[in-house]
Parts: sequence; structure tokens; C-alpha cells
Amino acid sequence: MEKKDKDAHQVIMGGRYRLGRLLGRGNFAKVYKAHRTSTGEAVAIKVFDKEAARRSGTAGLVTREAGAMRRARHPHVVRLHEVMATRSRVYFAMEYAGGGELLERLARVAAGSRSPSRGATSGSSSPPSGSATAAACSTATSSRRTSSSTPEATSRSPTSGSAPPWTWTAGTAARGDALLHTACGTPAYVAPEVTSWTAATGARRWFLHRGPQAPRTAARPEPNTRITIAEIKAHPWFQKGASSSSCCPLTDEPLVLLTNTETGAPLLGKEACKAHHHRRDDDDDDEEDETRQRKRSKVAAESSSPRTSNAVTPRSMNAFDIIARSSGLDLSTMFDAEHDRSDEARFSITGETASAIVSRMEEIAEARGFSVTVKETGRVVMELEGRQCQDARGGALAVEAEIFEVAPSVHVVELRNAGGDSVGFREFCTRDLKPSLGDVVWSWQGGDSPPPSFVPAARAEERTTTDDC
Amino acid sequence: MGCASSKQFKRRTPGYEDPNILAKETTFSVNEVEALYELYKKISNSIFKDGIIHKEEFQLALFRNSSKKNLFADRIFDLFDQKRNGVIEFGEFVRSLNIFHPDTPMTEKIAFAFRLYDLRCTGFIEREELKELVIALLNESDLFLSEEAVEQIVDQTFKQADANGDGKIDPDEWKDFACKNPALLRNMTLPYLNMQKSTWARAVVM
Repeated sequence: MEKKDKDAHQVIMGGRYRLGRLLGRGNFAKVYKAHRTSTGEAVAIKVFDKEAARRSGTAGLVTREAGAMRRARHPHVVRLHEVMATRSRVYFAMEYAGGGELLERLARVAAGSRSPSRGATSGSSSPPSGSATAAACSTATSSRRTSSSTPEATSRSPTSGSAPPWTWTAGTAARGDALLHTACGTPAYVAPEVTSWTAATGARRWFLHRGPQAPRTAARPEPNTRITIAEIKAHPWFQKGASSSSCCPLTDEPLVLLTNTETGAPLLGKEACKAHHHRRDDDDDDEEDETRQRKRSKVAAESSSPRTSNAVTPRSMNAFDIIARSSGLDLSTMFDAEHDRSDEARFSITGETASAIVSRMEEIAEARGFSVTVKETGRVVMELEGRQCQDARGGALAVEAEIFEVAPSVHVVELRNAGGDSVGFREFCTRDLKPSLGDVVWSWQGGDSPPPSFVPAARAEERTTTDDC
Repeated sequence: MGCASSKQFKRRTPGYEDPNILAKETTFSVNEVEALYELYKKISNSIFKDGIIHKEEFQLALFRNSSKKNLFADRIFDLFDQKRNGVIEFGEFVRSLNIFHPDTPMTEKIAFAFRLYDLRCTGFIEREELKELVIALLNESDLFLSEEAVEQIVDQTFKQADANGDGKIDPDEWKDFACKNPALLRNMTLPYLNMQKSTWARAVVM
């Protein structure tokens, strides 16, 4: 069975992923490493057996997981690229997070450093990026990371159902290990008090590994050495308003380890506190969206945006490349009723060099708080990890732009929504990019015209001339 | 199986062909042909309930709009309509989609693309044809390029593709050119057709 399974996965999946080795398995899913055939990018493919899920009554949870992960866009949550299914299986193609299992990694880190101090400022010694790294590149199977991070996103989202996607069972009685377990048996890292509560008290909201020092202490398997909620509350970070139910640990906000941009050293004590509060002050007080659309820490964003804006040699596009982009030649709409071209947009620019276009787009994107990565081939990846503007619905947004040269001094820019919802993407295109590029853009094309409400009529700096929306 | 399908056969439409025969001729398995039949039924009964795909129905399936005129969709329709009777029958539908299967050899896809772009069926892709195609795409996309820019693009492409410089692209030149630029054929492969691994089959089956 096992062998047969393995052989079956040597094939290329759906023409898109080349499956590799088995990374790990949970109670109802196996995770394989895979590579995207087009780009070679590593991904993790989580394979659910439909029949097994149906039998164990967890089919709903699979759908739920897909729904929650699709919405969750956060540096510490693995991204869900796509969901595929056959008659017997469901496949999640997810961001691949190397680095091994979280707990083992923590154990290694802890063994390497001096005996960890309890309670006080924890970022004091190694590891270099402490909680951020530990949380960000945790599991080989990724499933633990997602399962520990998605429930809040779901339970806090106003549109989602009321029940959490995972059933949290206080393990003290059931398993005797004083850990919380998800429905599939994955232990979650929580404070000792939590395990003595009942699920009804909202225990599922305490994911203390998000705390400033938590991964080092709260994740330890032995409950008696884990930090307690009282200790967390005593920390200066949480002093302000810690008693209210909407205080820091209960929000969905990533408590990334704030680092000094120059030295890369963790900010400690007051510095960190200041940076943190500064960040909070920036935010709009729109309660409902607050938790999902928090602007990512500026410090973290800056350190993760390498900039190489000069050497841009866009790929050239010949006549057949152009023709092949016709929607009339794209038969996939016949098969996929939801196939949506509104996640793509295209425009052409004349009389500019590729580098000028890139730096122009970089400016615009950075003004909107995106982190921007530029590849040499003229690909610009823009990622917004949080709130873009007050009414951005999807919160985080990732846009990929690729510049092609169709003729000397004529370039076509293709934009693709690489994450986030289409409304947010459309909005970015029409509200930010289009008006700002107005004086260089010759014409604009996007799948279907966006709804009238998104036409940037109200913008004072509206400069587009050929606006067909 | 024979028993069951002959029973169903009576209820099926004029253009229907036996999945066993179609499966032998194509890359699809019998099950896959049956799944395609479900899709075919859906498309062919969307406007005229006669079980045959008319051009309007084809346009509706592609663009969600039955009256959208598109040169490329017309070309695809004409190539699907192998009997040239103005409609797509089930057999034609399966045999044509077979070209789009991920496992179909590249040479077949290349040949199909050649016929697609050879608008006047002259056996060559001529300069005028290419220009017409480019202009059609630009219009479809609301991208407006000057006459000069279009000429430039076409010139440049011919420089790359027309190896013997006779002003038209013959099938051999096209084959070489397509092999060098596999991205040109990206629309000639539909991952959806690999039904073991795709979502739409679920939608059809469930």
C-alpha cells in the first residue's frame, strides 16, 4: 500500500507539481514535498484521503481548513497556494516551510543556549531571530504551524461560522500530557493554565507561542516549566490594557520579534515596547478588521525587502506570445466555472525603459506599504502584509508583476493576484497603480471591468487618459 | 458494462459515440470520456436543448456570454468542428480536447496550433495572417498600439520564426520555433483534462 502510494506520486500532478519525498504524516493527511513544474519552486502538498475524512467525520474540517488558510495571510502562517481534488483525494498545495519540526528545533536551540531564563526578557541571547524564525519556519509538515495559527483567523472573522475549525480538547484528563490537542491529535503549545480550563472559557484563543518570549518557554512539552499567563501579563509588553479581553495576546496580530534594522539584534525591553506601541498607534481603530489587517511591523518589513532595482532585462514577447494570451484560446473556463480572469490585469507602456517602469512601480508599491522584491527578469513581486487602506477587504495582498518587451520602447506589464482576494487586487490596480502610472500608461486591460464602485473617480490625482473601466 | 451503456445509449443524443471506442482512439480512459460527456451535456444543452454544441453555446461556455465575437474562439470552434457542419458533436469534442491533454505529444499540439493560426488554411502562416491575429488580440484586450508598433512586433517575430526568409512560416519552421518557445503552446495544454488529478472531475462527478 505504502509502496504503491509512493509510486503513484512520482508522476507530475495536474501538470503543475512534481511530487517528491514524503515529509510527514498526520492522522488523516500526508505531506509531500513537491516542486512547481513551471518555476521549480518548492511547495508542500498535503494529501487528504476523502474516504478516511468522511469516515472519521472530519470532512467538514478539511473544507474549513482550506477556507481559513485561504484567508489567512500572515508571515507566520504557511500560505495555501491552491486546492485540488480527485474522486478519492484532496490536495492542498502549500508554501513549503523547511527547518524541521518546531519542537525539535526549539529543543535544539534551547540545548545550544544557556539555561533559558523564565519570565524576563527572553530575546536576550541566541537564537538570532528567536521567536520569529521558530514560528516562521517551523514544521516540516507545515500542518502544525497551520493548525496552531488558523483557528483564530476563523473564529475572529465576522463572516465565518461560530464553531472553531478544530476541536480543542484539554488533554490533561484525556491524554495525561497537559497539552491541548487539535481534533487530529496535534498538540498545541499553550500555557499551563489553559489546560486546566475548559474549552468553553475560550481556551482556544491562547496561543502563547505568539508572545514575545513564548517559543522558548511555552512550547516546552513539560507543563511545569512553561511560562504562565501571569508571567506573560507581567511583561511590560502586556501591561497596557492586559486585562481587557481585546488585549494583545487575544488579537490575531503577529507578535514578531522586533529587530533592529541595522544590527539585526533583537530589540529589548523599552525599545521593543516603544516600537510595538508605535505600530499600534498607526492603526485605524476599526474594530472588526483590526485583527486581520494589522500592518506588519515596519521593522520586519524593511528587513525583508532586498532591493535590486537596476539590472532589469525583461523577457521579450513575440507576436505569438501576445496572441496566446487571448481569452478565446483559454479553454479552462469550460472546466472551471469559478475560473476568474479578474485576478489578472495587463497594461502597456510606451516610451519608458524597463528599469524606469520597475522603479516607478516600486515607488507606488512602497508608498502603499508593500514589500517589494525585484527579479532580474523584470518580475516584480509586491507583498502587502496587512492593511492597505481602510476598506481593503482581503487585508494582505500579494501582487506579481512581470514586464515584457514587445517592441523597442513598448512594454507590456502583466499583473497577477498572487494572494488576497480579487476585490483587493482590483482595488490596488484601479486605485493605486492606475492613477499613479497615469502619465506613462497607454492603455489598460483587465479581465472584466471592475464594479463601478471601484472606479477611482474620487481621486484627485486621477490622470489616466484612456480609462475604459 | 456493455449492457449498462447500451441501455443508456438509447437516451443519448444524436452525436453520441461509444466511450469505449473514443477511449481507444484517445488518451482518455473510458471513465474520463464519460466524465467529459457530462460536461458536453451541460454545454450542449445550455441554450438549444438538442445535445449538440452550437457556436453560441461554445461562446457561452468560454466567455459566459453567448454573443461575444472572438476571432480566436471562432478558430477553435472551426477546428473542433471536424465535419464542418457548423456544430460540435460529442466525438469531435472528445477527439479535439484530446489534443489539449497534458499527455498528448507535443508534435500534435504544435500541429494544432499551426492550423489555428493559419487563418486562411493556406498551409503557411503568412505575414498578413499574423498581423490580423495580433490586431485581433490587441482589440480584444483594449490595448492600442500604433500601426508601426504592430509592424515592429510582426517583423521581429518573422525574423525569429521565418528561418528561410520567404515571408511565410511553414510547418517545419513553426515546429522549430515552437520548440524554442514552449510558452507559445501554454494554451494547448489543459491540466484539467488530467482527470485523475483535477478538480473539475469532482465537480462533475459529485
